[in-house]
Formats: sequence, structure tokens, C-alpha cells
Amino acid sequence: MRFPVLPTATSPGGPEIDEAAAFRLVDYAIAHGVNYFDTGWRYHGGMSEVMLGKALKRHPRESYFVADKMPGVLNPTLEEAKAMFRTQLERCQVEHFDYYLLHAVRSVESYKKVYEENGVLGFLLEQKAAGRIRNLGFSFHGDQETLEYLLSRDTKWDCALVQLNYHDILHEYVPPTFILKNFNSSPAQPRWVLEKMTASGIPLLVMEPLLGGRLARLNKKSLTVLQEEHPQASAASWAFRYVAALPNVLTVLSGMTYMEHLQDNLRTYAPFEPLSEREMTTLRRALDIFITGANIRCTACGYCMPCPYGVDIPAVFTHYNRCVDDEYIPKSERNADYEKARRAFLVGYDRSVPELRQAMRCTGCNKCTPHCPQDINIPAEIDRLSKFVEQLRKQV
Amino acid sequence: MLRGLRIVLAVLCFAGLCLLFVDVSGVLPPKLAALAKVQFIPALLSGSLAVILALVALTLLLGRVYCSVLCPLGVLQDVVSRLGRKRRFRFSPAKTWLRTGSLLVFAAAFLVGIPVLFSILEPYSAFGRIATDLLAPVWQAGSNLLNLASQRAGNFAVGPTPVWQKGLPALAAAVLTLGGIGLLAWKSGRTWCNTLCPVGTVLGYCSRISLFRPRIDAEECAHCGLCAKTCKASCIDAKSAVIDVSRCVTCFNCLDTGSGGALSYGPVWNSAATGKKTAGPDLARRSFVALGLSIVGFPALAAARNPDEKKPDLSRKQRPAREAPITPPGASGLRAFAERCTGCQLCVSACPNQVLSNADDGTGVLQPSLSFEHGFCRVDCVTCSTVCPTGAIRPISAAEKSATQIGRAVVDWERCIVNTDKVQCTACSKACPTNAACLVGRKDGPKWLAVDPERCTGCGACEYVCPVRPLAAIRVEGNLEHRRI
Repeated sequence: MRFPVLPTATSPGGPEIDEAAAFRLVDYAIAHGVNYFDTGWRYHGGMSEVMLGKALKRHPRESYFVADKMPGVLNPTLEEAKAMFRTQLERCQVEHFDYYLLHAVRSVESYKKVYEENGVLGFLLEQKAAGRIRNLGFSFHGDQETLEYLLSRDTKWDCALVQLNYHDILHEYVPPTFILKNFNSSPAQPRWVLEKMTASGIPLLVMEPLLGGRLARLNKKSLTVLQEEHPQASAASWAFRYVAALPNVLTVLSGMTYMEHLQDNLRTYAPFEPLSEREMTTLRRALDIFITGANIRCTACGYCMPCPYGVDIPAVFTHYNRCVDDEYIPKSERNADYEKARRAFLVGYDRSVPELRQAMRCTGCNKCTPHCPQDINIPAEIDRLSKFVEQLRKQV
Repeated sequence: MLRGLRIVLAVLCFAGLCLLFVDVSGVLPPKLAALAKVQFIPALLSGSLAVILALVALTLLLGRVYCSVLCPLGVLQDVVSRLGRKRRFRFSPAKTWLRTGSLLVFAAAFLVGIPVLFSILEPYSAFGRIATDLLAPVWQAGSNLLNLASQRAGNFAVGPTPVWQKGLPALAAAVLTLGGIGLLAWKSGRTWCNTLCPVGTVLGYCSRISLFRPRIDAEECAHCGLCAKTCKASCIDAKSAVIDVSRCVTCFNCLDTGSGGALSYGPVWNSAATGKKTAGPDLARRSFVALGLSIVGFPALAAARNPDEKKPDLSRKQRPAREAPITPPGASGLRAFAERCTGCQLCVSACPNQVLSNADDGTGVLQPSLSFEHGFCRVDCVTCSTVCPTGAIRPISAAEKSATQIGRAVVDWERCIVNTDKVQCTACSKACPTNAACLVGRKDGPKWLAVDPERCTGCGACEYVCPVRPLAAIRVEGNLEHRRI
């Protein structure tokens, strides 16, 4: 769950969660039929689990499901994994997790290392047998081989958390493969993942239905296309209506920080209505306009951070994406609006990324890339943007 | 009427010069830099004979209009002077020995090569330091507030501006100058202009024989002393009804006192006809001797070297101790730069890349040099060369600049993280606009950093982005003489 944070107070783990606002959201959600709450070891620097525990403690245990995750990316030993699992139960103040996922499985090697060689999977299966895990699954961020490997095991997966949204599926998005990972791996296209998972019959939990919020904040032209069909419907509601109607979908996650988000989402799901043929055509049209901009697939999850050299990677990408969406990318000096767009880009860049944290500070150490769930080649993209910014700055 | 005209012109020139120093918006017309180029000493140094002749001619014709309208330090004194009581001035005899002495010290400082003394006495540069180090930070902080407002309003009208201290020596000089001259102005008007200011003295010699001048009609004069009380130059002796024209800055305040018709401003032959009294041009010959001295004096000697280390700013990378200072492209070398720079800090204010600052690293104490803690010298920017009024930084085209080596990068391999931490780091080689800094080495073997000194322009991009702190592991060493590459 993405919690609301206090605007001023900061603590070592990041901004402090606004407890009162968080309680209000959870109470309202439960009162209106929301029953699935997702958290993870690393969210809010560990405070997400604690806060969710506090908020849910005030409701009957049978009125909600809690999902938590084993942070396999931290490469834990069996002992560490056991300790983390115990801590998670304590933090969430529960006796059992309704859903428990292997967090962000990215490659066959890392899966084998942590879950098979270190024996963490065995431990989790024991916990399932003991009733402390009701449904065991994985959250998937890897290549085709990884998914095929997971599905070919004897382990019975009760669920899988996968990244699905209309942008990736309709646009047939192909994740890049690059040098650091296995040369021979084949990228797992979201459409391929969907087909594979549908065939496996494993119930799906959907993450990133809004692609890190970017589908909730379309550019003006594509939003207009949607609004011509439904003037009052939010861009997010279109995304949910698409993804929730896919086969085998058990639930759709959405990071709701504000009451307005929650209320808008409740309106989308109650009553739920899949997109009609006509609406699908409209959505495709809006998407075509949206993807013509050369966006970077950053969802600003922040897993790449902290950068050892201080580059604020999500801020750099977010600024660029916003400028693409708002058509503030200065393209050619011959364009009439070039000077205006250039100024807007640079002023916005200096505002949103402090000088000492700008793209130019990247050393190319590549520490960030393995952490990116979106498979962005971060140093290459940062370098591209840095050169782009330099080009703009030069023409004073 | 004359007074009103003087005030309007002075305010326009003063505001223009202030803006020239503090503006961060980039919307000022570049021609505004002309206001700095018509300043007396800068024009003398840059060899703008036309400007000098025009200023001398103007003074010979109308008196020291320059001091009342064009000189920003003069107008600043008038602004401060307004804060004091009205009609508080009184006549004081000319301090000729001080004026002449100060002019001689000024000329000597220039000839012998003591740029500090020289720049402290130079009025336009004294103002420049006040504008750069005291006014600009306030203005820029205001601009940053506007940036916040503009951000809230969701537009890009005003962008963020970096505010940082651009050198302690200049700040100290600015504070002392403002304190000293401000106090004098608040107490007794234009004391500085008529004692220590070398330009005031030189122009005073000219105005002594000016064609137009203020004068008192001895027959009409009631010796009420009102005019003397309004004279901020303290040059009207009401008792004997005589005006010392060499000290008069033609502010015309005395004409507006309403003390009857005894005071007027007009051509000298009218006064000769009617016997109106002014101090005679008895020192005219000497004035030209002194002026000649100043003009002959300008191919001067090199600056004094005093390689003190600058105290580090810990929130930033430290400024390295360079063996030779880096002078701006267009300066052609340290010697030529140090000879002409008066330390007005206009280039420091104008630099959009935040590389110029005032540190005593081999240039004179008040003379700026390049360093790369806040930015680097972008290859196509020639702003400093377009604003410099003294010719210390000569106009240079972007194409010329890109082929000029102002320094070259030197690698401190012992501290480079590729060596110490055995990590991959391509920060400097990516930032280098000429591909002079490269990681070399066999494909799988160890890599090291090498600089091609024939390609490096000394722009400092590598030093700016180097992650090693507090001192970068790659730094630029200045070229004493700039080279073509």
C-alpha cells in the first residue's frame, strides 16, 4: 500500500507516513468493500508493513486479506530469510499472511541461488503447511526463461503478481535485453506473459495497472480522446476497466495516496463494467497518440536509489517524461516554439533536480541497473538525457 | 529643469548599470554593456581613445557631468546622501595635495603593478564589487522567491538561480568601500569624489577650464549661504561668492535653492562679460600633464603574485590549488589579463556558467579567475568577453574560443576512483566536449585515465563532474599564455 506522507517531517527512512490520513483511507476502503492490502519489506523503508499492521489491527481479521513479500533481491541466506519473515509477521501484527510472494523474481540464477540453494523456498513451503501462509506466489520481473522455469517446477503457485496494463499489452511492449544480463535471454513481453499465465490457470494479481501513474496522467491530446467518450471518467478508470477484465485476474493493485484516488477507483469497480468494443477502439486511439512521445519507462519506484554518486535517477526520468507528455521537448531550432520549450525544459530541470544531483554526475558505475524492475538501461538513458540537456544549455 | 534632467539621466544610467550586474533573466539587451564601456578608466585601459576623447570633450564643454550621470559610484553616493539631512553641507577648501597625491598613487600602482591598490581606487570597479557581492545576492534571492511563485503558478517565467559567494577578497573590498564611501556621502556628500577619486581629479582638471560652468553674480549675491548648504561637493564659498569649478559635479542642486537670481549655469564668456566670479583656469596646464601621465601609464607591468590558498567551501568540492590560474578565453594570457583587469567583477556577475569567481590564485587579489566547483566553461559561451569594459578579456567568437586552450586537464591518478576503488567511472570522459579525457587500456585489462593535452581546451567539465571529494581527481591547470589548438 502506498501511504500518504507528511509534507514536512522527514526521517532517515524517507518522509514520515501521515498516520491519521492512512487510517482514514484504510477505514474508508474496508467500509466500501476493498479487502486486499499489499505491502512489502522495502516499502517506505519498512514503515509500510508497520503502518498497515496498525491500521488493520482496528478491523476484524476476517474482513481483509494481507499480502507481503520476501525480498529475494537482497539475496538473503536462510537464516536471514527466517528472521525477516518473523519480523514481517510482527510488523503486520498478524498470525498469518493471506498472500505471500517471492518479491521481484528477475532471473533463473538469482531464483536458484536464493530460493533453491539457500533453501528459502523450502522454508516458505513449511510456513504454508503450518498455516502462516495461505497462498504462496511470486511477483515477476524477469525474462521468458525465468517464467518458464518457475512454471515448470513442482511448486504449486497459488497466485502470481504480474505487471499488466493496456499500454504494454496493446502496444506490444518489448523489454530491452542488455549486456549485464544473460545474452541469450528472451524478453518477456507483457502480452506473452499474459498468455502464458492464462494457460497456466494461476490466478493473477495485477501490478502497475497505471504504469507507475503515467497512465493516470496522460498527455493532453490522448486524454481529450478519452474525454470525448466519457467526459467525467478519469484516465485511470480506463486503465482499470481494461486490465480487470483480463482472464484469471483475481485483483488489481493500485497505489492510492489520496482519498480522491480511492473514491475514483471505488466508482470504477462498483459496479464494474468491462470496456465495450467501441470503448476499446477509443482506448487504442488514445494510446497511439500517447506512445508517439519517446518516453522512458520509469515508474519512479526508486529501487535504483540511492545512487552512490548522488544522481536523482527517478527525478531526472520523471522530468523528461513529463516534458514529453506536455510536449515541452525542444526538437528543432526551426520550430517556432523552440525557445519556449527549451526554457521550460531547463527551468523545470533545475527546479526538479538539484544541481549536484543532475544526470551529468553519473559515473556509469551501473550499480542502479540490476535494481530496475523496468529493465531500463539506466546509465545509457541518463547519459542520453545528460547530452540532451547539455545540447540545450549550450545554445544560450 | 537642469537638475531634473540630470536626475532622470543619472537614474537611467545607474539602473542600467545595476541591472547589468545583477540580471539573471537573460532578457537584457547586450548593448547595455556599453554603459560599462564608457566608464573612464576601463575605456582608458581598453584603449578606447574615442570614448576618452568624448569624455574629456564633454567635461571641457559642460563640466563634470560624467561624475553626476555616468559614474555609478557617484550616483550611489547621491543616493546615500539623500538619506542624510537636507542643507547640511558647507564649504570646505580644496584638498589639492590629497587629490594630486591620490592620483599619483593610482598611477604609480598601475605602473609598478599593484593591482589591488589600483582597483580599490578605481570608481567604476569599486561600484562593480558592491553590485556583485552585495546587491546581486539580494536580487538573486528575490529572483528565487519569484521562481517559487512562478513554480506554484505552474509557469516557467522565472527559473532558479544559484546564489553563492564569489570570492572573499572582493566581498571585503565591497563592504569596506560601501562602508567608507557611504559614511562620507551620508555625512558630507561627494567628499570621496573630490579627494581620493582619480577620475574625479582628472576630470576636475578638465572642468576647471570648462566652457559651461555654474557661477555666482557677485552683485546679486546676498551671501545667504543657501547654495553652499545644498552643495554636496562643498565647492561653493558663499562668503566670497566663488565656486571651485574643478570640484563641482554639475548636479545643479544650487540652482534650485530659490535664493534669488545670483546663481546661473552658462558659457564662460557670459561670466567674463558681467564679472561673475569663478575660480580661474590657472591650473589648466597641469591638468593635461596629469592626464597625459595616466594615458602613457597603461602598458604597465605584470601583477603581483600571491598564491594564497582559498579556504574551502565544504558543502561543495574544494577549489584546487592550481600551479597557474585559469584566465577567461579572450584574455590571451595571465600577463595581459592582469595588466588590464580592474576587478570590477562584471564578468563574474555575467558568467552564466558560474565558473568565474574572485579568488587570489595567481591573478591579482581582486581579479577573477576560473574554477569549476559550480559549473564549467561551456564551449560556445563568450559572455565575459562581450561585457568586459577594460579589454582584459578581449572580444572572442565562439569558434575562436573552441580552438583556444586556456588550460589543460591533469589527472591525479592516485586519487581517481578507477584506481583507488577499482570501479568503472566514465564521468569525466563522458562530460569532455572534445574527447580529450579518455579511459584507456585493453578490453579486459585494467583501465586508466589519460588526457590528450593537444585536444583539451581547459573547459573544466571533467573537474566539475569528477565524483572525488573534497578535491577532484582531475583538475585543470591554467596556461600562462593561451594556445591555439
